[in-house]
Amino acid sequence: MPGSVAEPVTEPLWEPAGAPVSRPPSPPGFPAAPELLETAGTRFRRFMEQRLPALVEGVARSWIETLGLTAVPVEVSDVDAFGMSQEFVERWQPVLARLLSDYFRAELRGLEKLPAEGPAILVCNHSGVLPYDELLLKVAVRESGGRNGSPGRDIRPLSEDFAINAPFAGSFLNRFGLVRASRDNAERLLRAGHIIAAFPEGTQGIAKRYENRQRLQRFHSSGFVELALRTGAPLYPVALGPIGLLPLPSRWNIQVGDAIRASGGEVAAEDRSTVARVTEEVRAKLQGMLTALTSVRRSADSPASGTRRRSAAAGRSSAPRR
Amino acid sequence: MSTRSPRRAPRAAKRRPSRAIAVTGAFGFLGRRLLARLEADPAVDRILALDLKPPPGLLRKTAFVRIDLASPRTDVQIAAALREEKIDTLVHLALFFNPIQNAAYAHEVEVVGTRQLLAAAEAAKVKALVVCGTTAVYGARPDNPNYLREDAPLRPPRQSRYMSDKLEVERQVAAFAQAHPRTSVAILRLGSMLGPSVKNPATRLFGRALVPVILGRDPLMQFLHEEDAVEALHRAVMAKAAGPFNVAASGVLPISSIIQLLGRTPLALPAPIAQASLAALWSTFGIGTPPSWLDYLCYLWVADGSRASTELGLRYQYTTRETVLAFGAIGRARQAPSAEAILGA
Repeated sequence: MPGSVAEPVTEPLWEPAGAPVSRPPSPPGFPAAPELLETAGTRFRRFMEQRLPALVEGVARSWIETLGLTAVPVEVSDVDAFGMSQEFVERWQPVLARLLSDYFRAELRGLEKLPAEGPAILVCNHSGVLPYDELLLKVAVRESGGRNGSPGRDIRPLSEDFAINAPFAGSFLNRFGLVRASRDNAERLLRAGHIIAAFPEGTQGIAKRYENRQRLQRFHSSGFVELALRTGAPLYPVALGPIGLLPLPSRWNIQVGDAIRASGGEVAAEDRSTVARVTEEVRAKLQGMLTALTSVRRSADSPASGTRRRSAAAGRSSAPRR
Repeated sequence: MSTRSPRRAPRAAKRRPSRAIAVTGAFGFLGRRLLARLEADPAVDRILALDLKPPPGLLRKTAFVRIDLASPRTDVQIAAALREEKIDTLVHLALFFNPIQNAAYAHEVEVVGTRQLLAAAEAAKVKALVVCGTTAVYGARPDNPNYLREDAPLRPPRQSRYMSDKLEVERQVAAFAQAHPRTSVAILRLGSMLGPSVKNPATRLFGRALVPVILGRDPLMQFLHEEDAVEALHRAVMAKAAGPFNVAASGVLPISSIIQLLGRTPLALPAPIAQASLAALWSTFGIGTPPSWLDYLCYLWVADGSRASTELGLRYQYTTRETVLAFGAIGRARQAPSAEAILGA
């Protein structure tokens, strides 16, 4: 019976808590002629068209407000071509910079070597199981500052698939400036004049065993060298340490090495031996920096274990694994 | 010979007003606008409108032939009409922009219809063919690059019959282009459109006060204004373009920002719940969008529209942001402009 369908809905028995539902003005005391003629069908249709959407919206709004269910951690008004929001970066930078300086007590060295403009490739090691170093490197470079007190450049770390596609975290990282690691993305970013940070160990670098944590893994990709040759962007080895399983509050080092300029252009980028030679050069330099970093750190922390580890690390680095 | 004079002049040269263009789906939302532009273009001599529906008004250069791509042997009828009007360029717009419930009928129109149309084009020896595709055929995948080029693999969701039809059309058109090297065959993969007259899953999603999104997912999205889509079609027709072209505006926005710009409320649902509700709505009530489309709300499928800019000279009038704002200005009560209003202008 249509009347019984329309009855509870023209005058809802309950209202959602939260946002008020807009209500049409109550009819005057004496119903007008058209309303007398109104059938249950038109009342029902009017409810479906006017009242129900408002009702559903009210309920949903209150549900969202109560449970805090919004689409993303933070809403932003605009993003650049690769999803970074300046507004979002400015909001989160102080929080993360504080984490970097107070929790990780990070020591930043050589960041002034990075170019003030134009493209560059940072070649980094993975320092732990979680890919938080990608995020913190970006924070560190921005924190290191540019000329006359302005914030440093927004580098674009190339992130592992699983991080950039993770629910919640993925959109956070993307709004903060991380980009999914792919050759096409890297090339577009370089051509647009960005600094990219590559982690050529790939997931291997994250999954490496604890006893191998000092050892740079075989570079999963030499794509970054091909890109450097093709675009003329300088390569900077960046050592991140210490290498830890978890983000423990240990003292952190971020060290930028001297630039390696790979020349040769398109022709050299096609040549496997040139690519392999430059890749090995970068890898050796980064391994050297890591070894030095660790031995200095160990001896400062505890002299006895430091000597042992230093010799162990030196022994490893003399015979790099292929 | 379908043309009256042999066309030996190079493509870039100024053309005499002798183009004869046939448009299928001529009175759909894209076709109407394209027809209005072709009517106004002095380089176009005559137009052949092919559609199920009769024309909404009187047109100066346009002849109308009623065709039904879903019925057998339409190719003969189309070929005869193409020959009679000495058509040099055929534009295929009789395709769906919105998944419909009757998948069998959609298949007839899209796949069988396109096959018939290609057969007619072959028989009538048209010089150029422009087909309307979609960037959704690339599929939304976690391992997509941020910008998909025309050579990216086509990996739409496998369960979607709408998408497998689109993929089949792509295959047919590519095969036709390979078999007929002297015909300029272009497929314009249009980005997801928002605008006053288009109706598709995106306009339905963002047309509501409450926009369901996937909890924890906020991919970058890209929207094309329908005016830019029509402009791209017009340019492809006049330039006798060949090959696939993405028609995709510059700029991207996360879903959350789009919802914010439109003043809507997001309703974040966990993926399994969203999947289940979509499946129930689609299969039981026949409304909404097939559940296999959820990927498009989870992952990237942004296309690089620069090839259309460089090779067709297309200047996008709207960025993604401007498209979204223009869509927001239309408001919830969307009224498609009548065909008379467009064609009478």
